[in-house]
Amino acid sequence: MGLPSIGIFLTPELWFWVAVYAIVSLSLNLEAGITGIPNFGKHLAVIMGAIVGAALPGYLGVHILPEEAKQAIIEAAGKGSLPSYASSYNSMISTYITNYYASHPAVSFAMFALTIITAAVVGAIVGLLASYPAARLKEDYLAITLLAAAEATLIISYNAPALGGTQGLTVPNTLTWLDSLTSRIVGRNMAHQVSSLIVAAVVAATILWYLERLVRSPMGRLLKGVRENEAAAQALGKNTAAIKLRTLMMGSALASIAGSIFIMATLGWIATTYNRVSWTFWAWAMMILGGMGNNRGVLLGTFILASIRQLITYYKDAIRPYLPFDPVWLDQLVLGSLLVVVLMLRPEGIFAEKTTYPLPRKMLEDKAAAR
Amino acid sequence: MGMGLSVRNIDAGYGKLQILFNVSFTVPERKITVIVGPNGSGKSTMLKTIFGLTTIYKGEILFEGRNIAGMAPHKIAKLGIAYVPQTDNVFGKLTVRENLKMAAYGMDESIVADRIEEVTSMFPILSERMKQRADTLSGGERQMLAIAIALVRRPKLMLFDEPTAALAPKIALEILDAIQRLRDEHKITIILVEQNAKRALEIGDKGVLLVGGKVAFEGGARDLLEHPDLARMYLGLMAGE
Amino acid sequence: MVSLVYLFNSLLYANTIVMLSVGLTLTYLTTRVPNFAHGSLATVGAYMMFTVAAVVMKESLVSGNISMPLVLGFVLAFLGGAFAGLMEYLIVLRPLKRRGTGSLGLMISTLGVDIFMVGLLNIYADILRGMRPATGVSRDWWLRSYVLSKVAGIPVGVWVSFGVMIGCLTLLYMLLTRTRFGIAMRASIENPQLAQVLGVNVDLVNMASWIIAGGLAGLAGALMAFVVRINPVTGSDEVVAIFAASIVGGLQSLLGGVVGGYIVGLSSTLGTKWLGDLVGVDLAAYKRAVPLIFIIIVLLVAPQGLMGVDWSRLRRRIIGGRSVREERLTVPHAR
Repeated sequence: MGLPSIGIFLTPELWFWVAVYAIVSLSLNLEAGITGIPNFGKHLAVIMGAIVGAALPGYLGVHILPEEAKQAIIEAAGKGSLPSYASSYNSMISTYITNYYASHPAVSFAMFALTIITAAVVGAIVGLLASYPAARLKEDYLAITLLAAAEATLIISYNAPALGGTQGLTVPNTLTWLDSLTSRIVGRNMAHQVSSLIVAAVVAATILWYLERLVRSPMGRLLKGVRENEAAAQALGKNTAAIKLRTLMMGSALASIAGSIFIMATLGWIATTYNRVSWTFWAWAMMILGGMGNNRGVLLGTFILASIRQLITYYKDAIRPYLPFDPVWLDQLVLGSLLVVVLMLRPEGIFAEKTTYPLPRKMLEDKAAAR
Repeated sequence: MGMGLSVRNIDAGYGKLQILFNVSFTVPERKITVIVGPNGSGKSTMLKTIFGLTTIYKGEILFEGRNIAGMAPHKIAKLGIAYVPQTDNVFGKLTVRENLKMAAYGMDESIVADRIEEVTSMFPILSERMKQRADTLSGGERQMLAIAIALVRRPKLMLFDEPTAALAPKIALEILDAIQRLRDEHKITIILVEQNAKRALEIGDKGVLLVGGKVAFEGGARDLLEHPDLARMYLGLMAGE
Repeated sequence: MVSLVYLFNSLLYANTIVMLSVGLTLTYLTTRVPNFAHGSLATVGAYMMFTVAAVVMKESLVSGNISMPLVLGFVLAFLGGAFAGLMEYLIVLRPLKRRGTGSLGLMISTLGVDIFMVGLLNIYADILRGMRPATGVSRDWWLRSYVLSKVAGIPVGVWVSFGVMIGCLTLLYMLLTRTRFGIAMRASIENPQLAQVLGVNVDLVNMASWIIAGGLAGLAGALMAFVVRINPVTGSDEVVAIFAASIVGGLQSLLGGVVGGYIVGLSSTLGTKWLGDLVGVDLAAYKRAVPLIFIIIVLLVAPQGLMGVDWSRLRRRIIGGRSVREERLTVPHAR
C-alpha cells in the first residue's frame, strides 16, 4: 500500500483538486476568516460559475461554428433546423464545438478568457445580492439565509431545461489552446488534466499572493476590525456595510471562477456535483483545520483534506470487498468528525492567526533598532 | 461556625478576565453586610462569585463551615442561599404565580402553597397580581416579586444586587425597609450591594469597601460611613455628612 | 384543481415539518444553537421505522395486520431520534459550550454532526439493503402503500399522522404549562441564570429539550415515510424547509413553530401546485425553493418572524393603551 499512496501525490488530479479547492477555501477565508461573514452558501457562487462555464462555451460556440459544421449537426439531428445546445444532441454539438476550438486556438483562448471573466462578474453579482442580508442579519440567521439561497439555486439549476435538466450537459473544451502545448510535454492522455491544473494553480497562486498582501495592508486590518468589533469600526467612521459588500463581491467572484475552472476541467455539467457538502462544508473544514484568518494555514488545510479525500477515492475499490457498505461514505464520517474534533481540540486551527505587520517583522525590528 | 459566610482569598472573574484579587471578608449572621465601592470595583462579581456564577481561580467560600466555592448554582440555591440579581430578576413571560411556583422548584408539593401564601402576605400587592404576567408589573412590584421568589425557600442568607437601582426614591425606601425587616423579623443574614452607599450603610451593620477588585476596608458600617478619607475618596460622601 | 390525494399528501408533509420546526425551535431556545443536524435526527427515526419494516413487517404483511409493527416502529423512531439528539448535545454541544465556543463554532459543529450522521445512515442503509427487506432493495423506500387503506373515507396514514402530531404537541403543551419541570423549562429558556439561582438544574433542562426535540424529529421522520421516499439524505435535504418554518414562526415560541410549519409545509406543496396550475407549468420540481422565499421575505421584512411581531403592543399602540415600558416608570399603588 505504501507506494501507490505516494503515487497519488504525483498525479495531476490531486494537485488540481488542491488548486481548485484552494481558490474556494481562500475566498471563504477572505469572507469568513478575515472579515467574519459566515458564508454557509459558498456553493452558490461555485454553482453560478459552473453554470457560466457550462453554458457560455456551448451556447456561444454553436453560433460561431462554421456553416459546414452547422449543416452537419442539422443533418445528424434531422430536424431541418439547428437543435439547441442543451437538446438531446448536446453531446454531438459539444464535440463539433470542441473540434472547432481545437483547430482555432485563438478562438479557444478568447472563449476561455470570456468564460472566466463572465464567471467573475456573475460571482460578483452573487456577492452583491448576498451583501444585502449580510448587512442586516446576525450570524446564525445570515448563515441559514445564504445556505438556503444556495440550495434553492442548486435545485432550480438541476431542473432547468436550458442546462439539460437532470441529465446535465457535455461541455465543449475551451482549454484546447493549452492542451496542444501540454500534450507535447506530457502526452495526449494527460494533456487536459495538466492544463486544467496549470490554470487552477495560476489562479490559486495569484489569489494567495493577493490575499497575503491584503492582510498586511491597512485594508486587511480594517476587514479584521469589522470582524472583531463592527460597532467600533462604525464608530471610527468606517462604512462596514460597504466593506462587507466588497468582501462578498470579491469572495464570490473568486469562488465563481473556481466553479468555471472545474467545469473546464471535467467538461460535464450536472448540478448535483455542486452540493453544499462538496463545496461549502469541505471548504469550511479546510479553512478551520488550517486556521481561520491565516491564508497559508488555509492552504495547508486544503492540501491535507484534499489528500485525504483523494486517498479514500483511491483506496475505496481496494477496501470495498472487506466492508458491508460502500466506502465512499467514509468521506462523510471523516469530514463530519473532523469538523467537530478540530473545534474541540484546536479551534484556532493548525496555524493560529498571527498578528500581521505591514512589513516582515524582522525588517520592522531592524528599522526600530536603527532609530 | 454559625450561619455566617466567610470569603477567603478569592481570585475570580469571567473566563480569563480576572476581576477579584485575593478577596477576604466575613459576613456576620443575622446582620446586613453592605458591599460598596466605585463602579467596576467588582461588587456584583463578588455576589455572583458567592453564587457560583463566575469562574473561581483560587480561594474558599465557607457557608455553615462548608466550602461552596465551585459548586453549581442550583445546588447552592438548595443550601439556603438566595440571590436577587439587579436586572432580569423575574421571569417576564411567566405569571406571578408561575414565578413563585418556579421559586419553589424541587420543594415538597405539600408546603409550596403555604410558602407562596407566606411570601405574598409580606407583599400584599402581589396577591392581587397572581395571574398577571410579570412583565406587566411596575418596577417596584417587580422588585417585590424578585424578593418574594428569593424568599420562597426561606433562605438563611440573601444576596441583593442593587435592589433600588432605577426605582423612584419613595419605592427605593420601601425596598430598603423590607430588607431591614428581613433581618429583624425573619432573622436572615443579608449581603447588600448598593450604588447609593450612604443610604445602604445607614441601614447596614457591617461595611466592606471594594476598590479595583480588592478589599480596601472591612469593618462597621458606621465606621466606613464616617471614615475621614475612604468615604470621601470612594463613596463621594463628606465625612459626617 | 387539487386532488384529494394531493391534499392529503400535502397535509402529511406539513405535519412532519410542524413537528420538526417545533423541535428545532425548542433546542434553539434552550441551547441557543441553530441545529443544522435536525433533519438528520428525523432520518434516524425514519430508519428505525424502516428497520422494523425490514425485519418485522415482512411477516405482518402476509397476515395483513401492520398495526403492531407500526406502533413498534414509532416507539423506536422516538427513542432513536431522542438518543441521537441527546448524544449530539452531550458529546458535541455541551463540551463545546463549556469551553466557550462561539455561536459560529457551534453552528459548524452541528453541520459536522449532520454530515457524520448522514454517513452513518448511508452505511446503515447499505447494510440494511443487504438484508433484502420487504420494502425492496432500492435505497429509496417509503411506507405509502401500507397506510392507504381507508377508515371513514380517509386513508389510515392521515389518521395516524394527525393522531401522532396532535398527541405529541398536546403532551408537550401539558408538560410546559402544567408540570413543574415544564415551568422550569420555560423559565430556563427565558432566563437561564435566574432559573439556576432558583435551584433549577439548567443542564438537565437542556438535556430534556434535546431528548424531546430528537424524539419529535424521530417521529416526524417515521411519519415522513408515509409521503416522501426516504433515503439517508432526506432529512438533511429538508433542513432548509425546517429552518424556514421556524424562522417564519420567529424562533421564539413553539406555537410559532407550529404556525410556521403549516405555512411553509403547505405553501411548498399546495402553494406550488396552485401556482403551477395558474400559470400552466408544472412547478413541482421547484417546490424546495419556496422555503427560501419565505426565509428571505420574513428575515428582511419582519426579522423576528410572524410570531415575533409584538401583536399586543401593536394593538395597544393602535387603541392607545399604555405600553409595558411606560408602566415600569410609574409609581405602583397609585393605580
